[in-house]
Amino acid sequence: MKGATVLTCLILIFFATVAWGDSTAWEAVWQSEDASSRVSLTGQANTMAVTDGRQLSATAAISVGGGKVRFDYRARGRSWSLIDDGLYLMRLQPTLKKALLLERPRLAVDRELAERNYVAREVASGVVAGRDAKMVEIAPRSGGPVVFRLWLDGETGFALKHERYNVEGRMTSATEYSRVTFGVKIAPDVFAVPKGWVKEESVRSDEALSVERLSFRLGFMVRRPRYIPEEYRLMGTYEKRWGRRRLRAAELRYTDGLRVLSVFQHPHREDWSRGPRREERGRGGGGRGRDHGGLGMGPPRPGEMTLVDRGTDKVVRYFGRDMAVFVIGDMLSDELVRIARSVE
Amino acid sequence: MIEGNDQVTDLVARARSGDVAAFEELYRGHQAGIYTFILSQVRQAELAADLTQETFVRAWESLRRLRHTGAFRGWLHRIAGNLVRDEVKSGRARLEVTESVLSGDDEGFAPENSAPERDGPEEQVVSRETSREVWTALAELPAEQRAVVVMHHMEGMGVEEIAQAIKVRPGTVMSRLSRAREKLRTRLSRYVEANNG
Amino acid sequence: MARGNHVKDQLSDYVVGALIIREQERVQRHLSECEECRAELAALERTGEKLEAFGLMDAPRDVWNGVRQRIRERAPAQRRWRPAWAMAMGAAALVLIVIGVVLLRPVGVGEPSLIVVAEPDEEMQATIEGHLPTAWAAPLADHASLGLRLELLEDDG
Repeated sequence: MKGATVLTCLILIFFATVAWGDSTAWEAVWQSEDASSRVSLTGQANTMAVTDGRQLSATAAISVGGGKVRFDYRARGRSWSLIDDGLYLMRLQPTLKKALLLERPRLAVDRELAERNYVAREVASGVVAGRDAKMVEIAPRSGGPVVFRLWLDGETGFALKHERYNVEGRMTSATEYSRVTFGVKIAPDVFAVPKGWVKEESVRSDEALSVERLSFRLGFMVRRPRYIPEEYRLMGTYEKRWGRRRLRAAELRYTDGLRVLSVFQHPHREDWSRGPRREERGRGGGGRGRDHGGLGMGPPRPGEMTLVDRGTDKVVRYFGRDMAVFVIGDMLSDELVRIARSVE
Repeated sequence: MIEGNDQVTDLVARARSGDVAAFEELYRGHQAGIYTFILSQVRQAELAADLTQETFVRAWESLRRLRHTGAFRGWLHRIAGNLVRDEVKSGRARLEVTESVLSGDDEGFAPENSAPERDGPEEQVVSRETSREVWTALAELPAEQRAVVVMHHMEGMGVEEIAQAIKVRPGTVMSRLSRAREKLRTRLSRYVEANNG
Repeated sequence: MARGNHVKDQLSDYVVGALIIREQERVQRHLSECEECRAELAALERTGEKLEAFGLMDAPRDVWNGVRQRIRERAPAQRRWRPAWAMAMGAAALVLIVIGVVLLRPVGVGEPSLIVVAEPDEEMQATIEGHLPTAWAAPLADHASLGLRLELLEDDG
């Protein structure tokens, strides 16, 4: 009897520790998410991205302050700058004295959902950029490779090193600070486009609409995929206008707490895709004559399914009977294909 | 172009019983007026197009509730006006002039739509310029004055018809037209004063 | 002119027809004697002409498509139509199934084969570009790395 009680206690303690460990690890994770709005720092980091089979790297001088971030990149002799001021991503083009603006959506993070679908564990401690840091790993609860490895600064909780792995377990992005100084005062004009520059807005806002309202705006019934992996929840539906032809598509955006799955659809009947609206004709829209359905590639064959693996995620394009569907997500290709076909 | 009320009455009667082709005729005859009306208020082309679409969809759905088919045009304006008001209440549009409008970021104004084709090229250039000025001047009017100006001068609606559409007394319509005319005369003085031809 | 009572303040009311007859006549009498007020009236009238010459703007062409699509989904006399509509749908579905079976059979399993491409075409590229701000806002996003990615998109774009 006593042995069983001891065993039970040990098991309970084990689970309690794991659970508690889990919750403190998550606390640290969320704290690091908030950290960029709390801290101010300047530093130098090495960053890498895997995309379309290529691996790219750069060094970046980084400034963080007042919730804004600035990256001054350098890669193979080139340099460019990017500012995130919380509202826009601004890519600076000094030779043209121009800044390209992308409106930066604010996605509400569903922490509960993330904690339900993923497990966070503090697994090690180390030193990054000369500072003590603890390393947290985040992996899917249902099993599968680690998705994130974060090295979090002991003092501020800020992520000094960040590694992201895709569903196949390949590292697809990484950033590591080599130097960092916290608590510096940064002039506000560091995060602003210099006076007199031209600002060009390239992507419009991301307003969440109901499916009905979106259907009304777009003039076609927006369909929900009949299959979505069970960890994912619908975050919202959006009108997306992008690309050179400013095609209007519906985006259904899902999340499992950490990863985002987007399903785009727009009809590819010829009478619908007449090209840019009247007032946009001047903005370099062109090419309407040759396109079939405005898709820029000749008549699509129904049933045609194309995949691009970008490393961090995959893009699947599917031509259904009357709808062109894109699915972007970090999951196995079979899953993406299944989702795409279920939109019909 | 819809000429005369009898034609409208006939089309409305047919549309009521489900004749989409008849409704399309009604659409063709009224879309420019409604679109211009809405655009002059919300000043975003995309939004104006959406609201125009919604106006006609709602008109189709409640066509049977329209008692006097002769009041079709005014009734459409009432639907449109309510939709505009909803947009303003929800914060997606503002009726009063904004900085971007004055600085020329104003959307939706497409000179090629409004310059009459009968003019020669030079006249077209001049009239496009004037049209732009008129459009900007309209923006500076209070919303209610702007509405009656568009309905009366651009859509050709009479004072009675406007009064019924927006549910005010004819005297109110006239006083809004009068005040608007004064403001616009000052604003467009360069174009309307004698010594400028 | 002894009184010099200009009527400028009333001219806008006059021109829209808001004055009562007695006032109208008074204004007209003054106008016949006052060039200044006549000029002002002319300016007001020209303002009206400019407004009228403005014309109307056409709604974009696809607005009607949207209207038509939506009213077809909600035909006014729905109840009467439903049986016929349902029957038509049933028949259409049957036809589609038959066609589907006939068409898909030659392809074998009936599943379209997946074309894997290394380089996205222009259309896919556009989708990817539009998606980047979403990736930026995702939880635990590595912004430094995404910024690097963004630069590459600008390159190809």
